[in-house]
Amino acid sequence: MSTEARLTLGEYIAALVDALATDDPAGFTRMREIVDARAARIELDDEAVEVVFVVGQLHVGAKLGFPIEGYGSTNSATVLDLLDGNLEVNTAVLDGRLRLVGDADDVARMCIAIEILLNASARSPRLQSLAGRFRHERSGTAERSVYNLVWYPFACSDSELALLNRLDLLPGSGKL
Amino acid sequence: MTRLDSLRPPALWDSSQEKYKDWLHLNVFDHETGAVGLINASLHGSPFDPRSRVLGTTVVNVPDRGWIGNVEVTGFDEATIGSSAIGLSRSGIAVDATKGAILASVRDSQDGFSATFSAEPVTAPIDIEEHLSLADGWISWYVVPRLRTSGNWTINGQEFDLANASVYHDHNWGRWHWGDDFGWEWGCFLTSGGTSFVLARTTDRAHRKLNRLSLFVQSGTERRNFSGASIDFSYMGELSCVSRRLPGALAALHQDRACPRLPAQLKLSAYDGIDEIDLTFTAREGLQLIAADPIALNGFTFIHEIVGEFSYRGEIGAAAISGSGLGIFEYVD
Repeated sequence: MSTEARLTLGEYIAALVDALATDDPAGFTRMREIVDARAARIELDDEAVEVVFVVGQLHVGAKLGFPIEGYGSTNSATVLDLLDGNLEVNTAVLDGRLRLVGDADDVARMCIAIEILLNASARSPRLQSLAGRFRHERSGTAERSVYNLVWYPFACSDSELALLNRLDLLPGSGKL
Repeated sequence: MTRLDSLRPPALWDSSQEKYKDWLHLNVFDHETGAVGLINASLHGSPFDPRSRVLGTTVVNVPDRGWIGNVEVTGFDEATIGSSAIGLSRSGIAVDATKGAILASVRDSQDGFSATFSAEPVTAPIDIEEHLSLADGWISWYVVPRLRTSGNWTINGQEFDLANASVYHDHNWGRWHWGDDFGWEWGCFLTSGGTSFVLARTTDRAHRKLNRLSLFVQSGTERRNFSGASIDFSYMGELSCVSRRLPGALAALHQDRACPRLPAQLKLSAYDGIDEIDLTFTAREGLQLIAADPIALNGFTFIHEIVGEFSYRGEIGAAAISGSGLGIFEYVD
């Protein structure tokens, strides 16, 4: 592993989707149907690529010429913190470390595509190997830090709290 | 572990081999600092299937510092698996079957936790070879309620001697898919002075169907076993949240399980007409381990480890006993 050249963001994305197609063909089909012909831009640290399925085939490149309908942006430290369980997704989003931009439907589809990959990773040694390679390649360069987000980042109204309390959805409000 | 206990891999012709599970487990209770460690090496799936996984779970909870450590996932080919030993690149547990001694090693400098220690049984084992029902499968286990240890662990660069720590060991094996309709409730509670309690029952996933509860009490050389209706067991309050979820990729997949409902306190009363125990366990902090089945689609089970302190009083063999210590309770759904 250490003698291989470091993979670029585009190579990681291509390798992830290729592993999904091989190890979980049903998941790959679902991903293609969810994403359809939408193009997205993905940014990691100082790298950025565009991705799109054309006739069921993934295309990855710096500039593909398709209208971009959503983009996702994060950095290696955040990905490593998520992989290590030091950071929850909702905290990463609320803290601005993970940005997903687009119409609600497009953002939801991006999230589902990520979930399909994560779901397959439990049964795909190749996906796990790629995660291990990412950790190996990026852990030395990524600046890690511990984040403790203070909830809520926006004001919460009394009526909202009353509603959550009535539905027994506030932390500590319920009884087992 | 006795001379007879070892890992129980399936034979090549075993039709249930894809459900194979097997693990060696240790809990370390450092009574001086209040730290509780969990070191587990586990096998998931048929040894003959390349999808099968070996997991090394090495975490320690330190008061006011939370959970330190992580989970390592690898393939069978990348692990070293012996008749009674499992070794990964960052951790390993080996049992010397001739002496019953257990050797454990953790080398996880990236996550701030390393340990090297050996543990020798102080109490006789409890061997449950019977196949206890677990959804469509079964589980068996082998328990050593208390071991003494020598060695040390290093947490975020600070080394601690474990000479006065208490250790619990078990070995579970069986056939099931993670995500099937099962759960369990298990706990071990150890004082520094020699009394140990081990509690266990299997359940369905919703914890509505509760199988027979067993409580093993070891007080010095005295051992008692309470079960079924002789035990009154209840939960009190609600733990505010689990403070760590591992592995992180599976936690990201299951955001709906970020705040599970878990008890803040356990109360247990056991009385069989002769001996009597009252025990209260108060939770300090929780950890969620997400077990993914390497074979079954959407097979996920959530293993919640809750550490804390306990106190007890009672009467065993006509002698009044009381005390306090450290414990861990596991709620699986």
